[in-house]
Amino acid sequence: MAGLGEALEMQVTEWAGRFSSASDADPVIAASGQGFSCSYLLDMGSSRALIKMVEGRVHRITPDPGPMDGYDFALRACAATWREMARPAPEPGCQGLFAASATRDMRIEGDIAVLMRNLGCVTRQVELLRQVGVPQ
Amino acid sequence: MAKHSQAIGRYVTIQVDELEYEVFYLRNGQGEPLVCQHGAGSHNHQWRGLLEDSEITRRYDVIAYDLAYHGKSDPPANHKWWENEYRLTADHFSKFVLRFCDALNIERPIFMGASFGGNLALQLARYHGERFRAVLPIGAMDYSPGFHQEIWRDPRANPAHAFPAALWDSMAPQSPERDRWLALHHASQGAAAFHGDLYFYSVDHDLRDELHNIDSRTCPIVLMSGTYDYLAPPEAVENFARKIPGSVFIEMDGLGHLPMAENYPAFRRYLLEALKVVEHKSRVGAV
Repeated sequence: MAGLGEALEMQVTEWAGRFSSASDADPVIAASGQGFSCSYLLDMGSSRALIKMVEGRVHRITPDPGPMDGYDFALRACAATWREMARPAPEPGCQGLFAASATRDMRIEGDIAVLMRNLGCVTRQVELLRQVGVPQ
Repeated sequence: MAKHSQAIGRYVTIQVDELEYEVFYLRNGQGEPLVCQHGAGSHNHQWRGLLEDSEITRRYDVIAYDLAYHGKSDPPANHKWWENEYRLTADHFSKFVLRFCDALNIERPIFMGASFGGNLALQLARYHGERFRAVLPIGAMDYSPGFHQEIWRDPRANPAHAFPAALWDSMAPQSPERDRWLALHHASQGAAAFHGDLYFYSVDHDLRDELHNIDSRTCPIVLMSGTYDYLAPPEAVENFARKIPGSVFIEMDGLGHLPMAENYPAFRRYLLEALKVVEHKSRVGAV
């Protein structure tokens, strides 16, 4: 059970459902994400999820993807960094991908141009972790 | 009755290195001139809270201009700028401010700049300190390498989207949502200039070996950095500030890289503190 102000944690399959619902219901992604089509890996240390977006909607989330599951880019950090980013009020340095890249162990890998042209929506999805929580 | 802002917008024509600029500025207040430089790729609406702050404007003549290529200040009127890559240098940027102050007959203003404007404040203090009563660098670094990247003008990345989106987490998550979205909105209007701005920010600006030569008796320096500013973190700013004899450092709790734009009500108390330091230092310096 997460304490007040702590990130929620759950099994990756439960997390995938919650993340998908939150993203598809998000008004910012609905307003600006019509062209948001890409796939990316969230590597959270002990758990991983491959997210495929098509025109602003979650097409599929693959928990613990295999080596043949391709993606455009990956966002990798240890579980502790993601947990801090998912707190309702993250501490300085954990408020987003670039902040965590500069101050923590966040690594952005793959096709950076795909990330950058979808950066607003990806940033929004990372912020949704503050509502959704992170996989254990 | 229509609601009008007290800030008045005007254009003034200046000459910088043979280039003619029609510079747009917003102005409100009376007393000590306080000249304000916005962040890279943005414009003077970043100072909208300050321009409407009567506690400041009854004592300070607040002047917030748009740098050329930004906001309502166009590229040079007498030059085929479309045939040349825009690359801002420290020298040209500094002269732009000096010529602008000359044109408005402003003598020894306080200069305040944020982000790359903060880096410029350090340049002005180092090379033109006698022209300023004080400088207030916000979110400034002595050296900010690594950001002059091709991705900012890569068509596959959509620069008008990528640049403002990248600003998002330079701001504090506690700052009001509306103001953070406005910061992105303003930045989306200046994406074409962003890559050239970063030439100054990340390449041409390097004062690491010059900090000890900044004369803070002639030009007092009060540096400010927000706890959420990962581009100019408080610890890093405080560290280089120690190399500027007599400089003052203020840490701003719960603010990010663009405090005047993202959360003016929280920023203003630190600004008032900084202005008090300037007043004190001016009195002491005058004795």
